[in-house]
Amino acid sequence: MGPEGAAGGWLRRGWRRARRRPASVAGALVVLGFVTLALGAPWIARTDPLQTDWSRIRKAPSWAHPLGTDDLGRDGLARVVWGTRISMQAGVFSILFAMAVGVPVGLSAGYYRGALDQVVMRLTDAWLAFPFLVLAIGLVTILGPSLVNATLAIGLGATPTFIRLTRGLVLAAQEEDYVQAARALGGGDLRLMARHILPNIASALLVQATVSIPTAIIGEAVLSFLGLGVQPPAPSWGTMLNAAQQFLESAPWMAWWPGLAIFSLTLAFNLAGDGLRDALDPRDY
Amino acid sequence: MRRTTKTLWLAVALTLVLALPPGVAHAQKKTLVVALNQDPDVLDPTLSRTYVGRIVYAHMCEKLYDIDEGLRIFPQLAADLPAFSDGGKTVTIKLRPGVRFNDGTPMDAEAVRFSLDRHRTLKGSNRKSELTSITDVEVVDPLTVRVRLKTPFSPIVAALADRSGMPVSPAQVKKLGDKFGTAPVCVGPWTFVERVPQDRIVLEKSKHYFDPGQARFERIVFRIITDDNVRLANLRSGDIDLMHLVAPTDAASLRKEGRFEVASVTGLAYQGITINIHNKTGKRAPRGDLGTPLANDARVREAFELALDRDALNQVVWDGQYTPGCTPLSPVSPFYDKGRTCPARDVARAKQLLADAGLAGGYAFELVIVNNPQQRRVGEVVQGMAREVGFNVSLRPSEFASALKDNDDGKHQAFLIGWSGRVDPDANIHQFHTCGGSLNQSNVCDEAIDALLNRAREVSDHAQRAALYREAVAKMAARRNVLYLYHPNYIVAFPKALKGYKATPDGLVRIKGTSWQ
Repeated sequence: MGPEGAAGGWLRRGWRRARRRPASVAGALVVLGFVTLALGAPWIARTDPLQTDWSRIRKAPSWAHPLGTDDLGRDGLARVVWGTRISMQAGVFSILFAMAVGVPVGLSAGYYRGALDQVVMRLTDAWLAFPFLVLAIGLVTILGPSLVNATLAIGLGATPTFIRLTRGLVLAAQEEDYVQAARALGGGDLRLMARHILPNIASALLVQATVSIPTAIIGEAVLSFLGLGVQPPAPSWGTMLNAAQQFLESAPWMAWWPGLAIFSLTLAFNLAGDGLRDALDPRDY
Repeated sequence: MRRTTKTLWLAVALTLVLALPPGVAHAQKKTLVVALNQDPDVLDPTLSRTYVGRIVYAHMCEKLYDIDEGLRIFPQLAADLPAFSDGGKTVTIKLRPGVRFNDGTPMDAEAVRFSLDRHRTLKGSNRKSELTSITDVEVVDPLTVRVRLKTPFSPIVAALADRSGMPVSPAQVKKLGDKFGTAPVCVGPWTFVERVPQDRIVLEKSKHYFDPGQARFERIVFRIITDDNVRLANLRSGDIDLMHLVAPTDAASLRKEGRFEVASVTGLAYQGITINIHNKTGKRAPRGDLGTPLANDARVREAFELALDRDALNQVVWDGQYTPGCTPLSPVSPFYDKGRTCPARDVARAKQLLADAGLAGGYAFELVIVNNPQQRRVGEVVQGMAREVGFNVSLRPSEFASALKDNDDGKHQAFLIGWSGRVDPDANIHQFHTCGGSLNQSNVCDEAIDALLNRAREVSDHAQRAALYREAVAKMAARRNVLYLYHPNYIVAFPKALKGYKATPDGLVRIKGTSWQ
């Protein structure tokens, strides 16, 4: 079978598996929708999300403002759309940061074992003893509130998970015949890790990333809600919820949309992550 | 059959009770439940600092003097207003006869001397600074106390109309020592029963109060409910009877409902932006050069003030429920200068001033805000208004205690901060604006302002003092080390059946004299 046939087979198999899991497909479509919102924010939200209008504060949804206005008269739609970009940035970049640190460290610890493994694992244990949010809040308090620092803090909070996972996967992969064969053929450590082990554990890491992103998105929303993340006037779903809590009765729409956005994006990521895990599972034919 | 009849009668009785109008139901309640937004600190008048603590004291720890709705000082445990002699350096206080502490011991001149000395000397006393002018307290006779001052000090009467003027039971102090705050005994219509931290403080009617008719409730329970929305829900459900500090944005909807009385009064407090001018390494350190246009160029500060629209800020953030202002004195203060008008927003002139200062391309600085939704909203409105002029104000939220310390240490450029306000203008101005003042975080110094404010302490004539404050405030306004923005209103809500409630500008809830209709 040629490459085209192989690709066709992969697609067919993927489609067959997807049909069995419509919820995951829906989740993936919602994630795709939010990615479109994040990338296309300047074209989708034509109103400036920072533009205040003192004469239109806390107005209910209308044609002019489909999601209503907030406590400073800013357009709700524009803020939710631009908030998507911030949430996605924080969610994706923090997990990329966690992977950038966690995967090489876990790879080295699992590959070399010995004292390095012991030190890395004990440090990781200590790191994991801190609840994720407590660690993130503590770090942002030290670093100072901003989106970059919130992203870093969330990334650092997620790093030990990737160290542990990578290390475990490496330990299993090292015993595989293809690794032993490559080693017997004289492959160096770096080559073995980069060319043979890493590609074979990548799918599991990808699945972990998709289930970590929603946690990171919620983390960013929590930090911003607490005033430790994105700073005013920049729109973030967390800061929008923080502002809305004073107006739950008089302007409930201020809480509806950012709340719905956080709920649907995290749910969608989780559903898509489940589907991805199943799709990449080699045991499932 | 008999059982069925009984059940039927019970059902009828229950139906009747439920059908009673709310006023009738309230009339049966002997306990009044008041919701506070914070748990007070220690309930010892000498040591305590919190504003909510003063609300609890208003019911169990009365003072030598109190204030009325017009901020006039009147005698409470004293028999009359104090008499000044010896060029204002001697204050003679006559006490009300027949007054007893809530443990039954007499509240006489000896007890007042004991209490004033405790306030002045106890380790950790938060009353010391209010009473530093006192050199000696003497007992003249069982109902007369003489207070000697270093120099004439008019604000002493206002201090005695607050916690410094609360006599505490010497017998209870001797019994509990520094644990007095766990079971405080003073003079009041109600007396302390129990406290469950973060939950409730319970008082019951005193057997020894000299005017028992004023206490119409057997018990008062102060419940601590920090969340505004939860406090409001409890008021609506009837779980609490009086809600303290209603959010301005909720006041309108409560009024519309028609079931509740919403009492709003402009308070003595203010909110403003303190601008750092010479505080480089600490408010007590020598004045330093910060090297920033905001600190060094008065035109930049004026441009910033002209960018602000105080009325719009009040409308947007507080639904117009607060009172815009541009001085440390609230319009309710007898010393308020009614002839003074606040500078109106003038974007063109503000831009011109910035250009004159060589900042036509804009100017960026950081404004520190206390990290809560209300202050953030005020900060965002200021940010938005200033942007139109060319200021790029970045907001930095900070935890309250850290922000105060950083402000003291000169780490801020500008800080959105308020002051809860005092009856006497001295406590709202002197320490903020005099050279080396304890709260002079801008580290500004102008001997002409100092002379005016020091003189205002010495004279007791109202008109003279008012004129001195008028002149001092004009000089402070030109210096712009504090840009005053507004005076918060104290908004309290309760069922319409509660009668006799009087809102006072000090923001304290006073249940004395109220009753169910």
